[in-house]
Amino acid sequence: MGVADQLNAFRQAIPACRVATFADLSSGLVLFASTDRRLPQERLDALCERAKGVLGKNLSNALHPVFGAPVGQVVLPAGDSLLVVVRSATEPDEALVCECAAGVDLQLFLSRAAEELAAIDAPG
Amino acid sequence: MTEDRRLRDKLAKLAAEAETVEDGRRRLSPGAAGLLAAMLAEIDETVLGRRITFETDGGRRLSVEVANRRLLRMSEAPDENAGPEGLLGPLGPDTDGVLPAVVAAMRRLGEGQDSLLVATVPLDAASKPDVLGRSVAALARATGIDLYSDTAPAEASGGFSASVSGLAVAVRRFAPSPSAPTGVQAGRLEALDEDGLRQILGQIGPKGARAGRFILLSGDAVSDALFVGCETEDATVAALVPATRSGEVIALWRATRDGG
Repeated sequence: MGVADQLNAFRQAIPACRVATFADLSSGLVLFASTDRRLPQERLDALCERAKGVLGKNLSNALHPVFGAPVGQVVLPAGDSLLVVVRSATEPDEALVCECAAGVDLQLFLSRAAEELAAIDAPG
Repeated sequence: MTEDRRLRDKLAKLAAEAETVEDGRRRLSPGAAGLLAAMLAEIDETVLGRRITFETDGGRRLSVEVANRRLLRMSEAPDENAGPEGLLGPLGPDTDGVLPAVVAAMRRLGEGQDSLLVATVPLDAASKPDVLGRSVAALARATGIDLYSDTAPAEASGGFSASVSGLAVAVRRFAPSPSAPTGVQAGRLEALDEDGLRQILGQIGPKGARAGRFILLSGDAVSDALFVGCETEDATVAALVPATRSGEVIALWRATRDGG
């Protein structure tokens, strides 16, 4: 299964997830996107830019000693949505950047997102 | 490895996974929104400089040059309606008047077709025009195409950008020494009781968070916000909250024990 199919399956398995993107945080590029309706690229770019701002290298490096570990997850309330960013454990520049309904089971979502990233990064 | 090379490798690997190839070309099928939308999506999903040629089974072709998800120029063959050399572009910011012709050419190619063949080749540096090009959103706006059902970006909480920007400054300014704050740091220490922290964090998780140590203080740069944290069984969690402690959460960061 390719990344696009994996991302679609991930989003569709969690109804509260409206947008799931696989992004490169260092460049601010959305590499793949799965959405419940077609969105303008500028909207996806804006999500990625916001993710880069809160989990990019500058802030991550500053937060690392505070947490004593690399910060891998960020949640940002935005209106009736949550922007959820989960960084890959093996490829620090890669992340899932998702927009979810505010009522999403966050604990479950974070766990599934980490599994999804591991599957995407798995060789072969 | 350079950043550009790293990205090229990543995109090539990802693209190779996704494509169905016929003689070096892919078969582009219309989604629910039709072939025109599928062609525009090809542009929208092209980051590195590429010449994309759409071709009908009857041999009519249309090529677009794209970089950074923006259309740089287009050529039609055989040329009937495009410019003097069958070329439209380069497309700078003042080219709204040309965009309907661009979309019309794409629409003509797709008419009566069940699918198109797509060939993609890298743009050589010499052929890249010195313009930013036009986005698919601009093409859609200029031609009245309703590609998107939702164009309003979700807005972050007020003051979010300023607070997060200031946070990095504050983190650098105050070493994290929750157990032994000294001097100015001690004066700024904010200790929320366990219920207060749970109330703040409980809105957006994690469930069952327990207040532990507070790991950072507010500073001048984030005078309107506090950075509070706690440790759960498997992670360290910190939230940026308004100094008014109104129950809002501006942002929440989480670091798991396994580094994820």
